[in-house]
Amino acid sequence: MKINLKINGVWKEVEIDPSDYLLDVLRREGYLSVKKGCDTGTCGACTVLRDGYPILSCATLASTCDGHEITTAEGIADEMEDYIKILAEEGAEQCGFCSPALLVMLYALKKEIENGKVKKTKEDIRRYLVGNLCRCTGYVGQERAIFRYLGVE
Amino acid sequence: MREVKKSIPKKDSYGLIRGLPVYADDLAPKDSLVMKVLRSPHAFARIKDIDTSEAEKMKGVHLVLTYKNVPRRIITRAGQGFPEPSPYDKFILDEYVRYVGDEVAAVVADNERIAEEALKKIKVEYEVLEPVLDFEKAEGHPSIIHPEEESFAQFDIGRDPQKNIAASYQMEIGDVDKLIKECEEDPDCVVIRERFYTQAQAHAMMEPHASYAYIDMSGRLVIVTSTQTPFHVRRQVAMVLDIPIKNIRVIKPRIGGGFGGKQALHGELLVSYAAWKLKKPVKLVYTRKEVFEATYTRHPMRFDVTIGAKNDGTLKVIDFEVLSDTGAYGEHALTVLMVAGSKTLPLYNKVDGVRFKGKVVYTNHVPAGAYRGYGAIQGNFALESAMDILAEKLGMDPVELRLKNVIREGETSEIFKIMGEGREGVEMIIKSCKLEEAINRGVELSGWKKKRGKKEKNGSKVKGMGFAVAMQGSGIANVDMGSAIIKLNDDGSFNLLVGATDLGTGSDTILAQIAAEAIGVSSDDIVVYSSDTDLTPFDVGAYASSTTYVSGNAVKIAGEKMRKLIIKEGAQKLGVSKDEVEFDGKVIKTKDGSKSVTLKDLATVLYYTENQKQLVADGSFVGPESPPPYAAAFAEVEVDTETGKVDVLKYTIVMDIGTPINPNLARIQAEGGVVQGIGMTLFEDVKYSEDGRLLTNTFMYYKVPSRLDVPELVVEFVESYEPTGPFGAKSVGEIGIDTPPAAIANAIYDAVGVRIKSLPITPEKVFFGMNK
Amino acid sequence: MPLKILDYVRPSSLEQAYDLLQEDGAEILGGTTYARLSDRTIKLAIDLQNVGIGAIYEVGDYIVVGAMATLANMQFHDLIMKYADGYLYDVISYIWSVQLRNVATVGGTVVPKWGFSDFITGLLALDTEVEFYKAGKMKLEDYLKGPMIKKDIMTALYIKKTPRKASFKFMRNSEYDFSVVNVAVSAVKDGDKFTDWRVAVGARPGVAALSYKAMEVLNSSVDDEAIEKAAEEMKNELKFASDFRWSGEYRKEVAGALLKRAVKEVIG
Ligand SMILES: Cc1cc2nc3c(=O)[nH]c(=O)nc-3n(C[C@H](O)[C@H](O)[C@H](O)COP(=O)(O)OP(=O)(O)OC[C@H]3O[C@@H](n4cnc5c(N)ncnc54)[C@H](O)[C@@H]3O)c2cc1C
Ligand code: FES
Ligand code: FES
Repeated sequence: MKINLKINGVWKEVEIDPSDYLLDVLRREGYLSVKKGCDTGTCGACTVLRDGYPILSCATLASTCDGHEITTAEGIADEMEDYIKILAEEGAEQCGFCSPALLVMLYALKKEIENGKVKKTKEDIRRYLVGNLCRCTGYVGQERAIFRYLGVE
Repeated sequence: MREVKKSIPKKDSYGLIRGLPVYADDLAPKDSLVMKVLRSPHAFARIKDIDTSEAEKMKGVHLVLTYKNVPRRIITRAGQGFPEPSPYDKFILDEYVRYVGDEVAAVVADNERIAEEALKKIKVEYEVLEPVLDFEKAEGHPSIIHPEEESFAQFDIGRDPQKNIAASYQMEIGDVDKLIKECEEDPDCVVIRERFYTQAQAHAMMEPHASYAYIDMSGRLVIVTSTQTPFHVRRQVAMVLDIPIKNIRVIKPRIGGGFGGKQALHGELLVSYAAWKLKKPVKLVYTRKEVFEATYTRHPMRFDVTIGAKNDGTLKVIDFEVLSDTGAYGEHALTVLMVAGSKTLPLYNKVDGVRFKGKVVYTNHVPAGAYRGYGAIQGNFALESAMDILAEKLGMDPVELRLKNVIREGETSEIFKIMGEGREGVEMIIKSCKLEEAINRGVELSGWKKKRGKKEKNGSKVKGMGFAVAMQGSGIANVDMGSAIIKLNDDGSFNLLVGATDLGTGSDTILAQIAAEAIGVSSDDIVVYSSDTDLTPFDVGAYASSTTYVSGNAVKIAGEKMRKLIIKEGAQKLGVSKDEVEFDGKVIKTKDGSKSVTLKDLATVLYYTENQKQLVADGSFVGPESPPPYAAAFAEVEVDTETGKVDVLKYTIVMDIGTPINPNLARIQAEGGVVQGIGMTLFEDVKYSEDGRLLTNTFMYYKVPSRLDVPELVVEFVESYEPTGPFGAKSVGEIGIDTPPAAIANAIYDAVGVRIKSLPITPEKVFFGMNK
Repeated sequence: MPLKILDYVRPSSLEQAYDLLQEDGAEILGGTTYARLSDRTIKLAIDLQNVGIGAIYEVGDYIVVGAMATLANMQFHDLIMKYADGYLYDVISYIWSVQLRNVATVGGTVVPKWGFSDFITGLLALDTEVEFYKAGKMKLEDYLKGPMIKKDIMTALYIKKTPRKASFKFMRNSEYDFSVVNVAVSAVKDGDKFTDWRVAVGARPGVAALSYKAMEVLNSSVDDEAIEKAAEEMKNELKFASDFRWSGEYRKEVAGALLKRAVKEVIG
């Protein structure tokens, strides 16, 4: 079947199988920042935005996204330049496999803080990001960078 | 020091954070054929009959591999130097399957869906055999897991396959039985005997194992794979497929973590053989389930520890008896076993006698392999828990007990010489050891004296403090070799080519810093390229905490040579002798300042106009010893007495890693290690079904710590300088993981008086410990 | 092997969806997050995103939550945030991750009666009804006790805005995990008295159930002794079983402790 997705601002017609999950479709279409870390909706490496909200692309059927807007790390990296710089300065991307999804989450988190849905506290921010597993850093370095970027004391 | 001891961003951070295509699965050609593997549903079985005809007939299926049509050459998949200390007991595919998940067949098809459909069409008739699922009953079990005639060891590793023993080892210094007996009879002495168990932790690196292979324009086999040991992969594939080494190229792209789980062949043999046969690109990307069920785990172990000490706390004798479960294949069996002693027992080097004795058995479990801190973390849990028990028995502060007995700078341990990894070790006088300083600093930072033994209550929760020390190594002495090549470019920048393998650890970056420091230039001017067997010089790969120390020393040697070359060529250009010039990183000038040439100008001239040549320097290094880094760790926990749940509130770890080449990256290595150690201690439970199926095979049930499970982490490095290391560095990759099991177990005991001796420490165990 | 779907439709009315569902091999899609984990073939997948059952609104004494609302839609809705001091907001906020809650739907969570569900336990402690297109409305506890309703579409949850105080407690080892066991308790505050107690216990690991005996005890008294007794009654009344992760015995003991905490939190 054919579906239409607005990926990173551009409408695209994509040929899919009804069994395809969004993750596989996006990777096939060349959005390789979207990673498959587990396939059970647990690691968060496949996070993308649908209509502005973060979702697990491995756990969302592609067909159900027909007509919706999808944003991947490729689409927001330039806007997130400051954060990228801080994360690199802290040395907090190690293998980097979890990094693009974290970038997407941070983009969403910033918006949620702005519209008052998430409080700008360490506890609330950690909770917001809990679905993004990282095996390398132990999270502490990531959070040093994230708190610095968001200006959380 | 200008370029080292400096936190610069990782060289690859630009691409990694943005999500550029850098991992094997991202890079595989779009038209790659896809391989899928049919895996055994039985823990132990012989394939009586396998019919692949239906699968082969399917449209879009290119190849089906079974043990009948692949070369039958035995190897070990362990990524170790040759000759490997691991038994040769694995075929690409075999008629025996030895664990649930073992490879039965592989399909190569146009895409994943067809490959999966084809797998369903393969008909296998199994003769189901009685599996060995209890490692304590493996030795002498009626089922023999490796009955094949071909299996062998490259040298004596104490293997006895008829008894299901993959390896064994024994050493003794002094007469240990006699010393224990004396202690028992002496009213001025105490003896403790304890048994501990550790579990089969999963590496759970975020990137599943991925590899692809294709044939290049010269007809050579190119393998791109998420491996920690590209040169070993090249040698191993050459051996099994009988292709000359010169016709194989192995490239390691960026990889999404390894932790030892990629220090072995997983899939490379199958994709290589398929690509070689089909002359087409073939890729194999493991599912997460396959990573759990069919790669590696940590070796589960049982320890029987006996310690004798005088009432004043002076240790007299330590006896370690170990049983290790290597699962279906004997990869890393002997080395991991030995490290359980060689990287723990020398901590207490002043004993009169010490014995280490162990067996590694085959079982029908997921094979065990190398995992960050291999052997050491298991041994550390046993030894450091036992020390805590001893301290209590002696009525001594556990810190005092350690201070009285730990190894100091300028001392040695006979164990260094006797026990290496898989073979003899080397003599070593410890040239840098700030463990005492680390302990004292940690006592301050953690509030040990104020908090220990207070059982401070907060509702149903009680607080406790625990302590442990640890040591590691830096590479495998006299075995691990690393090398480097540096060449000068015409703008005055350099290419650094290293065989060393960056797993995401940042080793490319710190090696660039070492090169820059040695040449005397800025790290910005070092372009690193690593881990490509065609283009980079040899390196054993990333394991055993070797990269900074071994590869780093090789880079330093190459860098110093390059500096000399620059000075020599600069002097020639200026028409003076080389003793008359100096090089400040940018400009070569005479000492009197009268003449000068910039490095850039010199480089351009050397390329295009005068005295033309390419400046190249190389360096190789084999560690004559393996200087240990040390750590002192303090865990503060809170135990909920109504549920048994343990919260680690704060974890303080003070480390001696020599010079931290890049303090930020070193800190994150330490933090990441500690959190993996906490995972092993509290969350990472491994469960099998009665018939030997791994049940904890997803991230839903196998719980790696989430960010909400991480305590306040305090990491400090004590000032230390290792004279044999590059600019004073030792290693940091593994030492962080070693302490949490014992430190947290000891803290739980301090809080609620429950001593958990088997990992992981689940709330259920703590709860029933309190409510027997 | 992953889920296989042969055909996909997105009907624009409930009626149409219901008719399609009657076809052999037809199934409803919620957020598709959990369906993912099973190995089966769906001949016709019916996506309900356009049938208009995603809204959250008030009708009389009830908050109505459409079955296609995501857990996140529900969590952040004003009506939910305001009812019972944001109790349901809390319950939902501990379910797995933001990314999951943005996809997982109310219908996909309630209909399959997941044993591990925190959400169902949380709802069961309130006066909740479930509505199906054909089968109509029923109390949540009746739905949970009854057989699975097949070939029908859940349209909404009805949560009665009884002035309740509620507390939800769960025990997890890792914070990012399923609950070992969970307990939800609520009561109607009547002056300084508490009446109409509801006590729900889930992840036993069976699906959430009410402990009528504990409710009876609490309805007569909430002094320390009664709370202790309620916990004991609950432990005897409900079944706790082992799975490969936790033993039934352990779940039972922890449930007792959580129940006491929850009751104490409600009475303040
Ligand atoms: C990794 C993971 C962890 C989780 N952890 C937790 C947890 O800790 N606590 C917790 O409470 N929950 C947890 N959940 C469950 C989650 O909250 C959802 O319940 C689950 O994901 C299903 O939601 P869905 O909308 O995606 O359903 P789907 O997968 O789309 O559907 C599930 C089933 O419901 C049926 N269905 C859906 N909508 C309707 C309808 N309107 N009418 C009739 N039938 C319908 C479908 O046919 C299907 O059979 C977890 C889920 C995952 C994937
Ligand atoms: S791949 Fe989607 S959560 Fe792991
Ligand atoms: S950096 Fe490797 S998983 Fe996060």
